[in-house]
Amino acid sequence: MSGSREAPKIVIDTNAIFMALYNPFGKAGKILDLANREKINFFSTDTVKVEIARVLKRELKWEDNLIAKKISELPVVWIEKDFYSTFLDKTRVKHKADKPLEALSLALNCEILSADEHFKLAKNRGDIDKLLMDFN
Amino acid sequence: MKTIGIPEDLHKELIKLKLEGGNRNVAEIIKKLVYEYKKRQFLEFSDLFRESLAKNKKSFDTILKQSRKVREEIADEWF
Repeated sequence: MSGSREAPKIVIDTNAIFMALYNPFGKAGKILDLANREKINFFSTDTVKVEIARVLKRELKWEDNLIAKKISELPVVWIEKDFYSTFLDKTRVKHKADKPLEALSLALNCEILSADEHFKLAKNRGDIDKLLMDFN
Repeated sequence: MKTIGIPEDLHKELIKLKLEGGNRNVAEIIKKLVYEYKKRQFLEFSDLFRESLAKNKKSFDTILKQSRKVREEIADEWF
């Protein structure tokens, strides 16, 4: 991809964000870095935002204000349910919990980046290796 | 285009960096600085995340498993 093209939109899942946090120099970390370089525009659902917040609070005992600050610093645009809810019925993933993410990808007409095998069924699942190759 | 007010010494520093670094304009330098700032923020988040895993004796796999459970809980609450 050339630098002059518009940055592609990608819907990102919780596991990719946690992987990037766990290893910022690994594949997921490099992908998040592309968003900081404005080469990719990441979007995700309000459900993913709440999921990250609850995990940080319950498992790692973070305070609410710290969680809010750190999540706001992520290079992700959070999209509310109203925007993608009409696409929930059009999703292919089987688990109810995964439907919002696929619905958002359908609403935005873009790929989903997730390490979760549940998204194999999704029509527009993205490939992290291909994405990294595109930007190297 | 927008204009921002900055102290004169900072303006001088930016012009100096533009000339030294062969940047096209000051906006290009500011863009690089913004990227470095965001990158540092992300690395700080990452450091804090890994420190908290160790402090709470949690493995990364546990976080992913709990995250999946929380996802299902949210789906039941919201949809």
